[in-house]
Amino acid sequence: MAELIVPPARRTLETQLGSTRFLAGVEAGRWEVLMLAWPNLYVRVVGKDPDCGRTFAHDFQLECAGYPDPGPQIERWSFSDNATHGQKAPVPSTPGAPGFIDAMKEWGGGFYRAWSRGAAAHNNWAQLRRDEAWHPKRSIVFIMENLYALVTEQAIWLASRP
Amino acid sequence: MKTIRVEVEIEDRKSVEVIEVSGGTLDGVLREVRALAQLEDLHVFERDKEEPIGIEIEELTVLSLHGHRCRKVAVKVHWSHETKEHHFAPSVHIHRVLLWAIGKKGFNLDEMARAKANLILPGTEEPLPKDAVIGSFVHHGKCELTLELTLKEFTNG
Repeated sequence: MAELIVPPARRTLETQLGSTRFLAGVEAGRWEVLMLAWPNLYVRVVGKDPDCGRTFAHDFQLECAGYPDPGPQIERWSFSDNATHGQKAPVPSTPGAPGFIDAMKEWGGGFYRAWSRGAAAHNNWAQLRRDEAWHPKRSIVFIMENLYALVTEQAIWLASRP
Repeated sequence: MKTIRVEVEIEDRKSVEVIEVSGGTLDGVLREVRALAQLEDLHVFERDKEEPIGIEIEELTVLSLHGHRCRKVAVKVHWSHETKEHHFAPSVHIHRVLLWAIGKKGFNLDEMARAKANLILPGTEEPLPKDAVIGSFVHHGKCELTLELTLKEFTNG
């Protein structure tokens, strides 16, 4: 029987998903893997207001073909356990935390942050913000921590509203 | 026998080690981490937590830890000719300090300014990674850290 050949990109990603740092984030409740349907990874990120404890969760699709070079193409997502694993989530209602709203806007290239593949190339963003840009020596934890920071900002914004 | 996989970052050594601790007890984790660091007086924290690890870690299978001889770090943040100070555990992320600095207990920036805010080390320009632990910038013997708040565009089009 022919052996199942796992693409190197998938092997790299799965190794990082099993890293201590990634799993510690899962155990801490910061994020969870909903499904890996190669090349798509579906995650749920749970941000938390550190003062009042209010949480806010959002799903994301990370398309990881070729990982880690190029880096993931991120989309806002609404996960369901069906054939398409859910669908692209609508643009969040405004107002909201400005950084979160900007990242989730509809502009035609996916999640709008320098660390998402489509946005990195837009207006030379990756070159302008090397501190935020993806490079192949980074780990998937870099993406998860950045998503966690953004979702947390939205949690704090929501907690500040009556 | 249960084993806990532990990732450890010690003070400002800029390296991360992974060890496995058989038994998974609090005493065992503390003993192994202090041995790895070769420091008996090390405080050991989970990343981004304010309190040293306790018995609750025995429920976990993986741990991401930061060890530091400072129990607390006096963090000073400069912004627009003002300085605010707050004490954090060395294990907290830069992002947690940033949230304090831009929030009501800090400089109380408006919403747009909050989205642009980053922290940098004095004399540098590149924002610090939001998931870096502050203890990695703190030398032993001086449990202090001075940072500057800076605004950078959060969008690019």
